[in-house]
Amino acid sequence: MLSCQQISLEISSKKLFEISITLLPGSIVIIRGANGVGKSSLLRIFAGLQEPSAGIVLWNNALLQEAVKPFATYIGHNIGIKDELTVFENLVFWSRLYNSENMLQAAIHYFDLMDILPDKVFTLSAGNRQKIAIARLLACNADLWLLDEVETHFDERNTLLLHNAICAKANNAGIIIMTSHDALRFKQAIEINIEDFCA
Amino acid sequence: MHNLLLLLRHDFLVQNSIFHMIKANIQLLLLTMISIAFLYDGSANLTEHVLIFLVVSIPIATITYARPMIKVDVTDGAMDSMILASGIWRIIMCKFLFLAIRLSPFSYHYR
Repeated sequence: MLSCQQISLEISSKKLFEISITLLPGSIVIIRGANGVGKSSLLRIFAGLQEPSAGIVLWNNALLQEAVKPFATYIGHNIGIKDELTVFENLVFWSRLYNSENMLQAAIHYFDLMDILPDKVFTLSAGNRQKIAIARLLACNADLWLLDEVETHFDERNTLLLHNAICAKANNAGIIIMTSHDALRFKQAIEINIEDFCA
Repeated sequence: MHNLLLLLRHDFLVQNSIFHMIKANIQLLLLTMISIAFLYDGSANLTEHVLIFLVVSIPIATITYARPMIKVDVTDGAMDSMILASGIWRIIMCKFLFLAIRLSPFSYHYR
């Protein structure tokens, strides 16, 4: 369970938002809003990568800093994949870091990455790189997924695969929080327009 | 411990692919050996020569190596994910250890 109590973010003395929310296992939350309103910052606050100006974030009733790691996976605009390594080396590293090597093969097969496994990442197209980022998500066992516009560069088929992966994660008691433009729609998703929480 | 070794191994793989670390370290080792051989005139104490060399070269090498090592992880987003998976102190420890390994050719001469 993720709970945020009156978290706010101030940048250059300007308050961007103030929000309180509690998310139960199985929740899918889509954060929407115009550019610069703080969508990515809010995701980073949920991840514990950025401190809010005020308020606290709790993961399973413990402060984020005290929560047992790894509890979350985050994919931002920079996808965290090393260009100089092969696709396989990247995926193996992340799955080992999350102690979930058993999920590696499933992640590879889900996105049909067999043919590009020995390729260095810098040789791949933007769409394929994004596929590796999402495959990393599947290969890492974490209860909280934080996704920052991850469907960018995806074609219709891969968007559908991503959609199904998110639904499956939610059905397995995961919590998914994502920023997205219009590509992804979920029946059970909670949509938050962050502009409604702007001060 | 397992995570620390994993992070170290990953750093080694990445740094070696970007900077050809093994080749660079061998070049550095040869360079320092040749430099000391030239500096040493036979009458002076060799330890003093090496000590002066280390005082100058180790801080320069530390700054030169540390900056790209951390910058690469920050710019490609891997640092965020590593912090989430492993915790910040383990990453700092890993970077220090890795830096020590990278600088080991310098210490070789002092031994």
